[in-house]
Amino acid sequence: VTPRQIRSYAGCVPAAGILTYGAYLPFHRLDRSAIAAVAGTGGGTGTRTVASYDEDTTTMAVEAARGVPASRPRDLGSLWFATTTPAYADKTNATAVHAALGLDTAVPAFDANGAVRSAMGALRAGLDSSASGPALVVAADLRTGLPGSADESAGGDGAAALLVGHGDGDGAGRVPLLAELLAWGSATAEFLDRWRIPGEQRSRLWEERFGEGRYLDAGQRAWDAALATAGLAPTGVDHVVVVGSHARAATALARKLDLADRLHPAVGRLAADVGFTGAAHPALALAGALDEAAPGQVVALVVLADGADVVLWQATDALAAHQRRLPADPVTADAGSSVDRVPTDSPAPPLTAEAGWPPPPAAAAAERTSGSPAGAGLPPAAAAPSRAAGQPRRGLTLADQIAAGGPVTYGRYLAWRGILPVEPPRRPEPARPSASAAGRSTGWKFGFVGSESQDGVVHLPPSPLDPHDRSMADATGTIATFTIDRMAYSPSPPVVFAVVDFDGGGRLPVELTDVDPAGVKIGDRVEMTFRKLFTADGIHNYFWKARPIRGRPATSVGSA
Amino acid sequence: MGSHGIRDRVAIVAMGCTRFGERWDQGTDELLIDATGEALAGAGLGADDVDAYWLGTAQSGMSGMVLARPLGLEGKPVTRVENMCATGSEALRQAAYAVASGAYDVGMAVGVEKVKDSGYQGLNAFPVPTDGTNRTLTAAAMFSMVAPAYAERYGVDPQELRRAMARVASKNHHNGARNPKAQFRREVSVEQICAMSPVAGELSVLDCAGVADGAAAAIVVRAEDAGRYTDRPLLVKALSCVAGNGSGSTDPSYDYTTFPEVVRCAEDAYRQAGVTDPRAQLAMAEVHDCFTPTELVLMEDLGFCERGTAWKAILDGVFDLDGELPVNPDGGLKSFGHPVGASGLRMVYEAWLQLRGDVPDDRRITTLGADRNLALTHNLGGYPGEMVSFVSILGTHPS
Repeated sequence: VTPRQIRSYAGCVPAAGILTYGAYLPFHRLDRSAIAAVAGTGGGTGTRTVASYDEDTTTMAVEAARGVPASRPRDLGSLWFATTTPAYADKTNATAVHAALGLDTAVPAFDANGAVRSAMGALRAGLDSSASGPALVVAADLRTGLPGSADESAGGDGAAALLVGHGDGDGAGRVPLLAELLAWGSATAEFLDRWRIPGEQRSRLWEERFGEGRYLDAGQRAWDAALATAGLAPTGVDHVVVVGSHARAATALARKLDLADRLHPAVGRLAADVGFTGAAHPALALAGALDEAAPGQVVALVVLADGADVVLWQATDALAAHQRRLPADPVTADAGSSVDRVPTDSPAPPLTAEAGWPPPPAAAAAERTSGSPAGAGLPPAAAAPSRAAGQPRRGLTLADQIAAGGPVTYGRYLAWRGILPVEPPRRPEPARPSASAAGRSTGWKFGFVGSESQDGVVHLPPSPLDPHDRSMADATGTIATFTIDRMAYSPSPPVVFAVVDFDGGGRLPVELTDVDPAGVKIGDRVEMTFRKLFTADGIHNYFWKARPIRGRPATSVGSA
Repeated sequence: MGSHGIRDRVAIVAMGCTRFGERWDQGTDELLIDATGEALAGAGLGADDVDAYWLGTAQSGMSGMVLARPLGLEGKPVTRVENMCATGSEALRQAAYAVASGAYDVGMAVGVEKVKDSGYQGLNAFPVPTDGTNRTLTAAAMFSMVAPAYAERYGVDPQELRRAMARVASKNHHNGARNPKAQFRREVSVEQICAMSPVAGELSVLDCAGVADGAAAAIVVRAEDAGRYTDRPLLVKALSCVAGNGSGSTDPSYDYTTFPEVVRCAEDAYRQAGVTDPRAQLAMAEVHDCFTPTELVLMEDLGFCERGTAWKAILDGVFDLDGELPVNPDGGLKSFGHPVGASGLRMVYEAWLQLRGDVPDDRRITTLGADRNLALTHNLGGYPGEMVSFVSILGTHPS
């Protein structure tokens, strides 16, 4: 019995699965061999990713979601955000992601926080709720441990996003599935392998033999359950992705289930160069496998966290097209981003969401001819080496992002994580942002939406006199002039600052990030990234910064 | 509608200025008492003889009571004014217009700043609650962005430009070294300045204005009454103020090599005063040299040099104390120090001393003559692309 036959027996239920996916790895890399020289122990070979001082799980989640083409379909049903390290407690963090993506207020956004397994809960919830529209499931994590610990060296920071839902099988004319969900097997187990009191910098671990035994048992159960549901023999699985913080258990399970020869190499590459990214790792590893899977192949995602979840996916024909498009092919220009502005007290503003990818041909043509001033005047994205406002970003493959990046010293890494407090600049710390002022400008502050006058002049920040909104988050720009401020307050001096002129209009003097201060020049090309400027009075001050355009070839390598 | 100016209708008849510097010995009250006391003594007046006061302070206190309290004023109108670093000039402008209108006979403009009690180096603005998206750099960093833009636009070798900026600081230190009221009284060579490590862009601390406490004051009356207080009044020829709309930080056509607000402001002032060739007609200029690239650009914006040539004129010594047009003969913000609210009036104070010949020989300008007796003061607040500009022109003879 093949998987397709199984589903046809089910009949009335259209296939659910992954519509698109994307990943975000922070720019900085810590060479693990640098750890032992300072900590006296720990470290190892290879590198781990390090979130910059201006990143947290929320900002990385935004970047991962932005990197997913068509992550904001008009009929998006829900947004889910999972992390073990939320920026806020008692307050939802997914709302910041929601605001940064410019989602409609009617789209619910939920956190699923605290444990690695929360990511699987969010994915499950997204799939289960996708009858009401595709669900954007984002997971991000920032992994810390005490200096010299295995968690420190084996951990990594990153984020991944999956857009899940039903493909074009439901007649909605939406994008096709890239991978169909075949089955989900679960086994839940309460036992202490690792634990952490909220707020602590590190997790504590029981001796690993105990956890290994429990994970082998849970993994076997979930594996058997998933295969039974799918009606698959073990040999029907082409690629296996085993994810878990208990590395020894993951290896042992693969051996026990006789899967060692089918372990996808993406898992090993992540371990070597990125590290275990906690709640982000299931989707990150799956993204790595999907970047390389062939149509028809079955990929098993095995997640060992407080039990086990085994999810079987089958790659579709559409995945091949998606893979071809990823690194080099142009993305079809989206609808013009300039939309009529509405009063801020309007209960239901019109969607500013991007069109689904690719847009239906008729719709795309209509948008080009009757679209807004911004959209109508854009050069074809295919020919343009730049992105003006409204052109969606192209997702980079996981392999691209692994290959990019610049070094960070161990000392600076420790300072960024607050493990090694360093003397701050002798300048007043910034005042906390005003909640009410920020509440009036969420479009600008979180979404990087400026305004456009009747005659097409772009204003950043938006002018209350302008009739149109203008989304600038995906625009690229050029440095007109710049400076390095060694005196201004910054969580990690110096401040690198530039006047950026955007392609297609608009200027903003703005901070640069992920950049080598010594390498900045007039004429450098930059793109925007969602960051945390500072934290004051417990308020994370989120806004946008510019960074050298990431992509292939890497244009700038920072040193930190 | 029209901007007509008040040429020759108002005169400055007395001035006062404290020593600028890290005045750990004095607070705002003492600085105000000293500066106003010197001015009142010069005019032979008591505080009660002044009909109305304008107090300029950026952030050393709120309301006119900051002045009324230490001076013990009874029943006087006192207005606190603020226009960033052009605050002191704004106080003078308000006082002069009020006297010109006939509303008052005697007005006093006072500027004060007590910045050294903050516990931090440099100047720090009051935090206004915002949405948190406005990144605040130091002023040094904001103005440092002029240098690479200027070098790029005019094809000036960055090392040559670095020397020209250092020359500005060296000149102003030379002048300030001869001024007993200046904060820094030490000469610094171009080589020493170029050897400093940068703190903002290419600027070192020696490219930055001195951060100082201080106060200055001016008494203004109608020109026809000036003879009652002094036989050598200074006539107000022009007062011009332009507040930018911040378009430079949003408009890609702004290139960071000029301050358009200053250009407009200077045009207005020259028109009011009837000046057509400032480099030849002015005997001196006090300009807002908050950072060395600022003075560089101002030499072009004020019409002293053609575009793209100021760096050369600076290196050629055109603006030295004994040059063709002395600029900042008192040492400028660089060497005299920059107590925000007082600086605009401190500039006028130097014009007052120089045009009246009340300076020692080693700091005296040599450009004064029968048909060359005007001084310009230029004061600005804000940053490239988003600033307020003030220009005054003062003279000893009616036009």
